[in-house]
Amino acid sequence: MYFWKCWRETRAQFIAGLVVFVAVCSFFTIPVAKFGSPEMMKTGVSPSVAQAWSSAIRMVLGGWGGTLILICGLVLGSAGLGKEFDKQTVGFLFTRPRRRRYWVWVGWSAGVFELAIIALVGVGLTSGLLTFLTGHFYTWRVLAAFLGLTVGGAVSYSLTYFMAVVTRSGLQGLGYAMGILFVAILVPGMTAHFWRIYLPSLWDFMDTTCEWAAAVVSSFPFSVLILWSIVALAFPLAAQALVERADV
Amino acid sequence: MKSLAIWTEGLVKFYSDVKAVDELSLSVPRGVAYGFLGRNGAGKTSTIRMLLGLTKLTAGNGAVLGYKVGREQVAILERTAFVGENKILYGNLTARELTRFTRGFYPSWSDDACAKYSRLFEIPMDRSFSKLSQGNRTKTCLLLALSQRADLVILDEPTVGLDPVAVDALLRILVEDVIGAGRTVFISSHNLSDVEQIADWIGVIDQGKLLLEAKLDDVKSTFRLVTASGNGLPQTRFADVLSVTSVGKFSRYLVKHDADIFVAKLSREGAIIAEVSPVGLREIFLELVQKEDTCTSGNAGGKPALNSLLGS
Amino acid sequence: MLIHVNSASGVPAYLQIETQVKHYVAAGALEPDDPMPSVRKLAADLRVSPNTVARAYQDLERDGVLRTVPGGRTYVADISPGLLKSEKIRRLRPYARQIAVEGKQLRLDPLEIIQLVRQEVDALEEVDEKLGNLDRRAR
Repeated sequence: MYFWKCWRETRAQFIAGLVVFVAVCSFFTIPVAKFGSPEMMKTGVSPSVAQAWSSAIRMVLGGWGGTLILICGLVLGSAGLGKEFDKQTVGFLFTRPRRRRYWVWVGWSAGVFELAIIALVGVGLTSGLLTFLTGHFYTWRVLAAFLGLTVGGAVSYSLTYFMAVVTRSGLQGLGYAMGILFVAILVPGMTAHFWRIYLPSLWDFMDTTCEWAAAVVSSFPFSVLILWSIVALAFPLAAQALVERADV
Repeated sequence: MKSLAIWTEGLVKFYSDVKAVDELSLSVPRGVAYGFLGRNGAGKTSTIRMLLGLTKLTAGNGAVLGYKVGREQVAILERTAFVGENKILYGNLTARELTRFTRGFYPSWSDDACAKYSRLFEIPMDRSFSKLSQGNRTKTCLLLALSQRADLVILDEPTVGLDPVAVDALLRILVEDVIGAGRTVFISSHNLSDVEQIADWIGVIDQGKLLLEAKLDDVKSTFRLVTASGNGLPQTRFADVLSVTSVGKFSRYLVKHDADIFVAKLSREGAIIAEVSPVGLREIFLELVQKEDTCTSGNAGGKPALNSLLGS
Repeated sequence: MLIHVNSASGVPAYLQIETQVKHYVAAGALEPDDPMPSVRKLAADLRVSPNTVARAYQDLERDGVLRTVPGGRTYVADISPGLLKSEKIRRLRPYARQIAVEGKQLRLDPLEIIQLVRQEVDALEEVDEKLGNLDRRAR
């Protein structure tokens, strides 16, 4: 029931996110697959099947898709449980006969579910187009890209979800989450660039999964996937601890 | 305690250092309409929020329908219908969607009752909540609570924005379908006339303290307002006298019971008894709540300021 | 049957119901074996708590004004001729005392107090008479 309600209340944002994602995937996949990466375009050589796949997944899904799914996560997270506080519906919600943790986790999983659908449709569309153009299909690359996008989106979503609960406001939560996310992407980028210190970066993570998907260079980055999954799960856990003690 | 719908003992609530509820001990029997009366900010809403687990108790104990407050909260919520003070639901859902959302939480929910009440209240079921008038919002909240068919219905200021016809429809439903079926209604309100109409029991709260808890009929049969004139009349509250007001040589007493004995005593002391009259809820409420400041904690010892008033 | 409850008055609602039913019976508007509405129905009509109506019915039954048959329906009772005069007086005495006390407090003459009661009894008989006239005219 609460799952349905969350879906009902966020379906407009979800559909908007889905439409943009689909538009980006269908618009960029074909030219990238045809002409390859910008470097290849300069040389004028048409890419091989493997090259077409790798450049399309890296640029379309890793680059554009990654940015979009982070934004979707921010938007959906700000529409989560925290918004119930500033809309003053939380008194109604918390007098329905369920434990507080039920609301935290059901509400959270509704958003993750929506993000997974967006990632699934986007990845499915891009890989479908690639299969159509090249006649090949790389199961593991597709799966890695999907997992990377879903977990990456879930991190930005969970962060926003948590911050909205902390500030008891969807909009404030969104603001803080944007700031934190910006710093979290900027700082590891800078330390890596200037001092060669490699901190875990969400951006790199999504890039890595997609890179791995693009060219099977090393073993699949399970450790980072698990690391970021734990980060995504830690936020609703922290939100639960807060909500269970909250005076409404 | 199992036989009580609501029981509290020494309930205390502090908001930082403000005492909202002060040693409150309530006993609400099952199967009655209980009017929980008090001014704005008297502590009514805080008490209800504690019972429902929306806020933690600072001290004391409580049980709702035999389930312990704070420990068996889900069991309480499953059997309790609640309309809160603010009456705000999800703005972009329609009343129909809200009923669909709510029904799944309650095994006792009745679709027939829901259909009947939505007709009685004339609620536009397919308009989103944010576009409804205040009256229709209140009605939608009531619809959700009443269709639940809960053992206990807690209503916090349920008549906000309702026109007299809707209030009448609500009273009829409460009388016929809730109390008539042996369930309990707990209404918190400062609208005395609606409560007076259906209440079996009343509890009067002011500044977090319970000033009176009694059967309304008993209150009306035994409470008397005694007006007397004379010099040296008692000016403090004692035993059965709940409040005293004095103007010049006239004094007015709210007497809890045995007014005739009290009157006889006054007469023996030389007072002239001007009037002994029965009292309505409104007068009782005003006497209890307003006079609280002028004549506080007045037991035998204290010499209240009113004596000087009398002398002048 | 039309009963009116003024909840804002200082008189308990159950007493108002009792008084009115007794008045209707005394005036002949309710006759023996007339059915009474159920507690829940009357409560719903009056918008008062069913507990209030139940209490009024209980008292009326105890006073011999109503009777409840097995199955729960309530009827107006036969005015029992067997009711002893001493019993009738016992029941009325508290009201007489109330009138006496209030009258004394208001510093009324004892004669004036008695006259007041007399007037009320006359008024009831007048109603009886009017009803009788109506009956005759109807025939």
